Amino acid sequence: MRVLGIDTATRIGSIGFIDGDQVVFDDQVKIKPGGAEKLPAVLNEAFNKTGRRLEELQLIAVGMGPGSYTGLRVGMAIAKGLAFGLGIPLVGIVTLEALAVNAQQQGALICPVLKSRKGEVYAGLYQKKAGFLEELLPPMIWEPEKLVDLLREKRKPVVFLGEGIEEHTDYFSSAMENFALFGTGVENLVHGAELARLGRAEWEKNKENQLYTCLPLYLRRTEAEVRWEERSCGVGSAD
Amino acid sequence: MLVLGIESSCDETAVAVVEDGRKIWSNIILSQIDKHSKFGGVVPELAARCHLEVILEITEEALRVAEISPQEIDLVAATYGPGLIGGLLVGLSMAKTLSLAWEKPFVGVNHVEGHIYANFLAHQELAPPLICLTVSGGHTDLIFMPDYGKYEILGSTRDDAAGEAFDKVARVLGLGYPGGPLIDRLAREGTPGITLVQHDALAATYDFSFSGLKTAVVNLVHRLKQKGEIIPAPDLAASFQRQVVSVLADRAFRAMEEKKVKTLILSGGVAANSELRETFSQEATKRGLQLFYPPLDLCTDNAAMIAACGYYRFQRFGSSPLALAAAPRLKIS
Ligand SMILES: [Zn+2]
Repeated sequence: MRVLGIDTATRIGSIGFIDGDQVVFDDQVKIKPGGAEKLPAVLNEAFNKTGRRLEELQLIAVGMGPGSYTGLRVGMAIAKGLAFGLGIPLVGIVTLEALAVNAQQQGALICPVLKSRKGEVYAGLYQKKAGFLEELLPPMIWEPEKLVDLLREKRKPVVFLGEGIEEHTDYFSSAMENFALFGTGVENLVHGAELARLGRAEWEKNKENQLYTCLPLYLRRTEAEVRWEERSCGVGSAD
Repeated sequence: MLVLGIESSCDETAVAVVEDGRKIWSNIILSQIDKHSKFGGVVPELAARCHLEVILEITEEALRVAEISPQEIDLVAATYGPGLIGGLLVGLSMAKTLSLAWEKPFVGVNHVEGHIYANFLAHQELAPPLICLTVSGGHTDLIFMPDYGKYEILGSTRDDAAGEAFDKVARVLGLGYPGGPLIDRLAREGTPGITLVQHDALAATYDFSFSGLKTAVVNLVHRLKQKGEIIPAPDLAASFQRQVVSVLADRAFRAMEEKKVKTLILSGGVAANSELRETFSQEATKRGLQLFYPPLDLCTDNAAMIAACGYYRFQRFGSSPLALAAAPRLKIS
């Protein structure tokens, strides 16, 4: 199966194209916040360079996040435009899962971490079983301290990985005592080709086209909505 | 040439199919106004989320209503600015990949320029040279258009857009959102006898300022409230509206004279205002000028105008690069 993987949840965007077991390309592109609109041009170049054609594609896999709202929307708009334009199905993959598959340490729990707002992080918890990824905790927003409290109770080594993990290494190392391990180098980045592989597996499970249902995992309502609700609840409790 | 146009710069998700910049095959508009009204204005993050949720369905609907297959589209056009970055990126990104997937050229369109072309869709005989007054919640621009694709900005607002001022005045009068149609309706019950601003400080220019006028209404309402007096809302609405329209008319008709142009077109949501249409019609007749304005669904944000503008841009300048960046503060050029 020929699958394109796209992820734009972080500052580094990823595009990867797999054709069966062959990786045709697997590129990372710097996309500063709001710069993801360059991605269609980058994608076009990657196809031209490898002499492949968009119309060969049979499935699009897109990272749903969590991550940068704007980044996710651009990635999703691109993926949906391609899937609709080419008349092929689309599946959404949790970006944290695409990161988790990068972990090499055997038997450890895997905790992908991405930057959120106000010192908080997006994180999930996974483990590999017989080559497959098992979700122990769904993607959520965490204060790093609360996340560590929970992970410490597991009394098991935990691999932390994700773009910007360096920011947290000192804290996680000391707070987790001897149980913290860290992803190195490209292990901390989403690989489009890996995302495409996860997408293929997801598709083969029940052949469900998510073209219309797939949306970013924001995990938060907009601030305006939250404030409005707080205000109207305040009014409600007064009477 | 069939052009698919996409518009997502504010709170309307819109997709249209237009032939040769003049003939509408389909024009699908989904307004998010219900989602934003409780906040008293457009919430950018919420708007961006809504655009992504519906844009694909709207695109399909536009193709379905036009009764064409994607292969028949010759060009994909999308707004790339000015507007809210989050929304712009959704429409722009999708337009680029549709053009890639369909192997058809892509062209980025300036939204303000797009508004001008709403009139070309409604009036087949219309042609430049002309002067266009675009008034909406997002913009107030007086533009001289000597030929297709050529523009000279004569004047713009120095503070609030006209539609924005309508919204704020409506809010202080307790009318709701969006303010334009509500003030228009209420003004019919009042008399425009209240002087809100003594003199027009920008009278020597083609620029606009509405914030003084808006503040005058706000202050008057607060003073009356403090004194416990009744607020003459219909009279205030009528007076405010009269003064906005008279400033707009002053600039527009002065420009017509200076540029020796016989055709004036109105565009943007505020061009639907009944007093504005009436005043401009009377003045145009008196001066022997031709006045055009689009029907309501082409006054407000729509994608047919983007497709039409995209067609003319493509004829003159060719396609846009796929790396074209969204430009929230894009100026017309
Ligand atoms: Zn507009």
